[in-house]
Amino acid sequence: MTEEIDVEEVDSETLARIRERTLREEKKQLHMQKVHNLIPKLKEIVEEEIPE
Amino acid sequence: MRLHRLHLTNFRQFRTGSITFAQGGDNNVTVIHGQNGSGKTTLRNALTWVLYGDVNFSLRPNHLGSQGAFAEVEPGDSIRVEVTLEFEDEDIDYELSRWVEYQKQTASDYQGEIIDEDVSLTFTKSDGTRGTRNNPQDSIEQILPHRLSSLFFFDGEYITQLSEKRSDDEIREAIQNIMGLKIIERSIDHLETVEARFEDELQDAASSELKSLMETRSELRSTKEDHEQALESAEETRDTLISEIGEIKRKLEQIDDSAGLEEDRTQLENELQQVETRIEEINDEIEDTISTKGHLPFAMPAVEATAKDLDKLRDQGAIPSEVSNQFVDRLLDDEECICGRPLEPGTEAYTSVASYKSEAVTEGFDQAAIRIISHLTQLDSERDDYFETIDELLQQRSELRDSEQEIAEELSEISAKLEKIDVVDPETGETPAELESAREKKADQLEDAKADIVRHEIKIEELDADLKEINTQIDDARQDKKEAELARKRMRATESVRQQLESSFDQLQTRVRNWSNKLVDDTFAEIATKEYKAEITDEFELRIKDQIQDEYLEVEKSRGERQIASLTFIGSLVQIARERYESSSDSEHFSGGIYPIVMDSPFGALDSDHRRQVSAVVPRMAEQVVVLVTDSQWRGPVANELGGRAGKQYRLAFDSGEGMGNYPRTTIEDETPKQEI
Repeated sequence: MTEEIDVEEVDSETLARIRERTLREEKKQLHMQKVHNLIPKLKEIVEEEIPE
Repeated sequence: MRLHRLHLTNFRQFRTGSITFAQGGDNNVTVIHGQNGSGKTTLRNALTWVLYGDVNFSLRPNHLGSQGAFAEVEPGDSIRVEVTLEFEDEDIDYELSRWVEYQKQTASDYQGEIIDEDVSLTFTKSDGTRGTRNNPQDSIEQILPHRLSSLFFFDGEYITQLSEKRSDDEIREAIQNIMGLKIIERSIDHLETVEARFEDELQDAASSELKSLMETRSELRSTKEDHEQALESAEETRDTLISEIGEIKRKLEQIDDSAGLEEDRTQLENELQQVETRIEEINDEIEDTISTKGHLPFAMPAVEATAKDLDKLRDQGAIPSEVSNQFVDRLLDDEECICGRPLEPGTEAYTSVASYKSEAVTEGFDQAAIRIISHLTQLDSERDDYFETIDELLQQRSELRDSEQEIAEELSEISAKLEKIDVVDPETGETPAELESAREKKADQLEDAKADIVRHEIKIEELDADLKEINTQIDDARQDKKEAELARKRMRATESVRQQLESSFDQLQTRVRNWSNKLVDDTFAEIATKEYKAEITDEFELRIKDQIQDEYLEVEKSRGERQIASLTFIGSLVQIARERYESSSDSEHFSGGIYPIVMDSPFGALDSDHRRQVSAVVPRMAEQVVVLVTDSQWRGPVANELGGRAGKQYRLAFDSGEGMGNYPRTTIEDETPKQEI
């Protein structure tokens, strides 16, 4: 059982784009034991998709 | 990835030599055979060295350079050790070279000191474009990840180990990597960190009320995490104990003095299991009956009072009866009144009699009252049924509990008897009494572990409910700062994406397990001589089972069977990766790949029959297969089966270099039959 999240405020297309871009970035570094600068990159993706 | 050519210079006993690999189609196998110590393992190591800089030699692991080459140069001079691999991937031709420059230090130095080393990867695209990869190691990792290489470049020893329990983690990891589960798993982890960063931003910008709520949430999450870890640990303890108890059970079954009692215990335990299952079912039935009909006993006093009131009202005429309306209708239909007057439609008499008929609303009320009275009578009967059902279920449960108690007593007696058998078993050196005592202790620990599991599960469920509640409160809290609102929005979006990925992970995991299970079993059925079944379990473990009556039980595997199981598994992985490569879509983010298989001495532990069967399947395991075998393994069934599929065949001619001024040396001789023109 997990906490239920209500994200009505972010449309499903945006969430799908975040998902796809995240997986693309992960794929680039899949072979690395330690990821390089990946967390800031993923955070940036979310910030770009949900701008101010 | 398709291997084209391997070239070695001064690499261990190879002064210079090349292997051109057979390509796909009917002749996709490259056979390299030679006597023991001729350099088969060195060739496999040359491949892993050029690709990853890794070697695994049991003898003189740091001596990469050829002794002969060192002998020919003076101290201070250098020799170059180099391996070049030409291959193709995704329609691009690559040339990968790794080299080390050694300087000879003294006259008797045959190891040298590294003075320079490098690796380079050049490529030629199909349109003729040429170039060099800036980071060759990263590019190689993309083409054939190092973590997967042991599955495709392996020796006989490795494949024997692979089907043993200690390799379960490796199998799980391999399947998850190949099938793209890893990428999702890593994304989930990383997005969790991103969420935490947005949460930090939110806390910085949030109101004091919100901050306090979020702190509470952090504490709840941390507590939940503690319980999840404790749950995982308790589950591991439970699994270990179950396995240890199973092991003791097997020993007791094998000892003559305790075998009979152990058999009785197994039977009783099965009976107990059935009784417990039935008790659970009855409890469910009782719960179901109470939840659907449990209101009846409580409602009946009110129902009976209502029925009486309705009867009374009918007696008093307050509720017109159904008969009165029917009676009026009949008089009107007959067109004659009870007093004998004719009742013609439109006459005053007709209208007068018709007016006795109840109005529509009253009619509905009348009918409803009748229906209610009838239903009330029915409810009374349902209440009786309810009591009867509950009584019956309680009676059954009570009887089952008696049986449960009896079985428990019998089990206790068996345990007491076993604890008295003090005869030492010559094979294990243990007595049934000692084994039983250890079993009892572990059984107690198992009960504790199970109780812990339930306790943590309940706690986690409670914490989930608390977290849900606090999330609502956080949502309700006023977000007066724009920055806080934005951070919150981003955090929740990240959380939502993570949850979507978790759900995808679960779905894909099930799909992958079913797929790999089918492939492994199909391939295994083709090779195995016995009627065994290969299975990838829910935990992604490779198991071989035998059908005993209606159920499959895990079997102890011989070395040969273990090798076959592992080869089956590796072949299935290669097939899965290839199928995934051929049917990959952008949305899956893991396109699979075409991987070659390089097998070093894969037939060692197999008998002649198994060698022939494995040889028949090997060419189908991958699009490109390289088999390194000893001369003795190559002869007979292996050569008969594989010879026809060998597109390239080499012999390693080894000269041990005994005598002054000579050094071990292997030359590679091409034995591929010339094509007839």
